[in-house]
Amino acid sequence: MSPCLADLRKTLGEDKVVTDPDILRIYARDPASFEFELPLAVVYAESADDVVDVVNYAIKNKLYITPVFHSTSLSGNAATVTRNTIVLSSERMNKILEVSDVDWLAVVQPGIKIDEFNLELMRYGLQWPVDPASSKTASVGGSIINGGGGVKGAKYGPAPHWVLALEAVIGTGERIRVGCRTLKCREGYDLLHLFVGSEGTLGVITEATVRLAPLPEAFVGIVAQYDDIVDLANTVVEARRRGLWLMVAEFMDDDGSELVGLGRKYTLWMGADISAGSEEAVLTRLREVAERNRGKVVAEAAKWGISSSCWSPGGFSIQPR
Amino acid sequence: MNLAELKAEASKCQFCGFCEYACPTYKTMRMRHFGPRGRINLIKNFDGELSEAAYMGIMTCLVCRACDAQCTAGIKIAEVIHDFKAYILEGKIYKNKR
Repeated sequence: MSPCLADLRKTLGEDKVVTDPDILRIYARDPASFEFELPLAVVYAESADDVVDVVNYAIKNKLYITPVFHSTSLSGNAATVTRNTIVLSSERMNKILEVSDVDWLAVVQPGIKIDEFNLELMRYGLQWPVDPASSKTASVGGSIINGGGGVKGAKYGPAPHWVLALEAVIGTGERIRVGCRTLKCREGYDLLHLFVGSEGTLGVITEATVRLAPLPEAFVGIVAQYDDIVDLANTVVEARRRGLWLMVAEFMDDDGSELVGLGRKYTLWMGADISAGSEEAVLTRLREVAERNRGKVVAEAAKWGISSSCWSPGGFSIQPR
Repeated sequence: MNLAELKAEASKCQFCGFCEYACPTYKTMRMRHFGPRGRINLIKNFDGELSEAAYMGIMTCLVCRACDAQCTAGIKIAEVIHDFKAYILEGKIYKNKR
C-alpha cells in the first residue's frame, strides 16, 4: 500500500479504506463493462467530513477520484478509467434526514437506493417519482448526478425535475450548497442544474433535498400491439390530445418484442395514475384510443402491480383480454 | 457444481445489482463484497487465490436465497456461493492473496 493510502486509512479508520485487489476489481466497473483501470483503493464515506478528507488527500497526493453510488449506469459513468484513482463509495451514506409531508420535500444522504427511499415515503403517502428501471438498486444521488429517468418519465420527467438543492464537496475540498428548499428559487445562476447530470465531474454530492409527489390513488394501463409503428406513435399523440396525462408510455420495436416472446409486433405499454373510482372510465378511453389507431389491446391492468407483470414476458397470462 | 461450472454460472452476471436489494448481509455492511453481486463477481474473477476480504465476503453469505428471486439473468446465486464455499472448505483454494 502506498504511504498516502496508509495515511488515509489512519485518518478515516481501518474499515473505511479497502485496498484488497479482489475487491478493487468489483469496484472498477459498472454494467456497461467498459475497459477499466484498477483503482488504488475503495473508500467508504459515511459523512460529508469523510468526503472532504478524501478530496484533500487526493489533492495532496495528485490522485483522481471516481465517486460511485451503486454502479448501475449503463454508460460507464461509474467505471474507473484513469490510473491513480480512488473509488469514493457513498453506499453507506443512506440516511433519510427529513421528510416534510407539508412542503412535499425530503433531505437525504445520496447513497440511499430509490426503492428504499420510496418504501419509507409510502408511510407519508408520498413518492420520489424518478424511476429508472434500476430503481431497486440505483441511488438517489446517482440518479441526480446522471440525470436519471425512466418508466414514469412520460408524466414526471427525469431527476432534474425532482431535486431542489444539493450539498457537494468540490475539487478544492470545500463544501458548497446549490439550489434551495423552496420551489421558487429564482435568484442568480442556476448552479443546481449545472450539477445535475455532471456525472461527478464538478464535485461529490453529500446531501440532496428532493421534491416529492403524492402517491397516486390508482393506476390503469394497457398493452397494445401494432403492425405499423406510426399507428403506435399516433396512439400516444391522440391520447395526449384527448387530455390523458399518461404516466407510462413505453414501447418496444418488432425485434425487441420478438426476442422477449411477445411476437413480431410493435408493442406499446401506456398507462395513467388516476383518482380511485375512475379506473374503468380511463381504461375505456385508453382502449378506444389504441383501437382507433389499429392497435390490438392484448393486456390491461386495473392496478400498478398487475401492470408491472403485464409488461413482463409471459405476463400477459395474468389478465388477458 | 464444479469450479468450471461455478465460474460459467457466475459469468452470466450482468452487474445490475438488483440482488443487493434483498440481501441481509449487504444491507448490514453496505460493501459490495458482502452482497450477491460482489460475491458472484469474486467467483467469476477467481484466479486460484482468494484475498482475505474476498474470503470474508464469500463466507458470510447466509444462503437465505433472497437474491435468487431478484436475478434478471436467472443465476442460481445462492447455490453458486454455497458450492464455492464448499470448494474453499475442501482446502482447494489458497487464501490471503496480497
